[in-house]
Amino acid sequence: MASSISMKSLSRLQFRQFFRGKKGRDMLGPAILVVYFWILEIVLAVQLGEKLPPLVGVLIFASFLIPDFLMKVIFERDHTVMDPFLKTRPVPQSLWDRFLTVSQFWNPSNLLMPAIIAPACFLFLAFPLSLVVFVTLYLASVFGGFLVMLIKHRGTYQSEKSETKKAARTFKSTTGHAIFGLQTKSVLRSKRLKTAIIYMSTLMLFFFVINALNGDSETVRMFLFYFIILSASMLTQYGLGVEAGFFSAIWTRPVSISRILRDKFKMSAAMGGISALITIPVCIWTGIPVYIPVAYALFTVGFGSLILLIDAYKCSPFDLFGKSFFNYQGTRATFKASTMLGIIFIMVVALVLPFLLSDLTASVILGGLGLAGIIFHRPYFDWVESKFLKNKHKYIEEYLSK
Amino acid sequence: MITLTELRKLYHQVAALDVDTLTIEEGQIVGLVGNNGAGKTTMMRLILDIIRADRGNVTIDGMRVDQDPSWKAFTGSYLDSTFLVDFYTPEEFFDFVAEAYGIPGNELARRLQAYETLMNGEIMGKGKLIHDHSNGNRQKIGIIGAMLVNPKLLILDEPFNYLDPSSQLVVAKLIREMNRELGTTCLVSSHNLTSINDLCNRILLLEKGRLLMDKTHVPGSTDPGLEAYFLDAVR
Repeated sequence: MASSISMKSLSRLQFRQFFRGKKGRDMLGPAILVVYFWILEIVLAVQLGEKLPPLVGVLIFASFLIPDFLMKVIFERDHTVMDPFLKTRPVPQSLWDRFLTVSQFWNPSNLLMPAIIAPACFLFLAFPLSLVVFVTLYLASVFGGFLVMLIKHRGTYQSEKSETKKAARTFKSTTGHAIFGLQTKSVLRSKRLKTAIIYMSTLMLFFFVINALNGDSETVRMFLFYFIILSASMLTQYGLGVEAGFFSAIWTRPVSISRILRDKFKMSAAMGGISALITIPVCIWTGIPVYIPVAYALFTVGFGSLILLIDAYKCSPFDLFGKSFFNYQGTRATFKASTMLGIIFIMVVALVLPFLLSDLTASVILGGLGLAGIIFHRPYFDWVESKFLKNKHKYIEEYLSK
Repeated sequence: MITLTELRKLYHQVAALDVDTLTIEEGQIVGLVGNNGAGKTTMMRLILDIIRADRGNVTIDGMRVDQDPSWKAFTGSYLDSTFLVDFYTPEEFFDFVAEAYGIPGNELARRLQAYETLMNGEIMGKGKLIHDHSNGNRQKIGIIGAMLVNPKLLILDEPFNYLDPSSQLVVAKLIREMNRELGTTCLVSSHNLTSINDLCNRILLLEKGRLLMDKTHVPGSTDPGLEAYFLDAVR
């Protein structure tokens, strides 16, 4: 096939589409996540005070490849088929295959794990070995990305067949109605959101149960809290990101932003409440006081949701159906820096208080904060709405331009 | 009904819309025409308070749209797909619209009957998400979502796009009936001069953001001046 398109052109296209769809603040959230782990690693290294034995170190770092691979299997989509704007042009398949392979070296999902563990490698292992381990892990992650690409590949027309099948699927309105349904159905009908909730919650629940059976109380409390906050904040962490994708449908109708925020709050309450209920039998069985999950649920919903939604309107539209190769992860929405800081703040409050005080006192304080949030959520969201309205055009124009 | 006063919108220092004054009277069907980049959609977005004017203001029934949201209660609009909730089925979307405007369920069902011809048995009862519908059906769902609230003011951007000829005629008929029976003021933009000529009793021509022509029009007639303008534009 005669073509003048090159690897360089494809790479340039990919980089431009990736970076032009993002603003500086979109990148700040993941950066904060990485820095958060770096700080944790430095604290751990200082506490340990010495390097790890080489074999133990290598085994520990090698174990990071498992979650790294699993996360890719869960979240990566089949992006081996060219987007229509390329497919309809003379791009040789061999060039495309080479590009898919080579681009694994800078695929963000293959860079995340090495970026997170980089300081730990050098802090916990002796220098020459740390360099070898780090480079090997990076290459292994790239290889993992390549394997996932092969696993997810369904052939040129398979993906189109599945699109046709998807278009023929039917839905029944069983959960949530009209305006409130925006919250329930966006979760249930978005594979990405639903998958994230199910997998991440199951993982945290698993760690909670395992630790409840034979772990120390701090770890048990940590995973109990992670399980509850994960499900309760799954939607609130994106702010109005889902609504931003169809904002005109709300804005041109008599539906207030505070109403949407209250619905998000209720959805978070339902998710947090269900999570807490799930943990209660395990708590009773293993002798963990039941007031702890109750306090965590109240705190997460009443206090945490309010913190996460404080600037809900500063968001990128969440493309529930996005699937293009260049549109990584099938969504434009990313964690905001403020959301990341909010989550860290909520975690610190929830996990540090029981260290400083007794379980009961900490639970009373956390539950009390949550109850106060539940009582005052209505005026609080009116206040958030008033902040949005002061600069409404700026935000709406941003939603529409993405 | 709608007044635009010294309205100006700039994009990168270039005027996308620059209108000194414009008043649209109650009960008119106003056609908005102009080539690409003329400012038709910008005007509609400013009227709907979706974007901020760099100068001037828009009032509906004497109230500034950017200061008083009461216009939303009697306005129906459809400009593009961001007016649709695409992870809803059409029924769920109409329920959403009905709840927003306080329309009871039985009244909603009654009003939807008026759109059965337009839906042509392809929209309701299929259990398909709006996202999975064809462009034509999505356009119909958006138009019905705007009209079923029986608005005092109806704003439609390119309503005939994606529609087959039969559906274009049905939409034009529905707009005409709504205007006649409810006195609805309609603002409709289109590149289809025939549809605009058939439907509207006033035509506005925009060019590079400026109002070039503002004519009363007899629906069903052709406007030689308008056709001459578009022919000249390509010469």
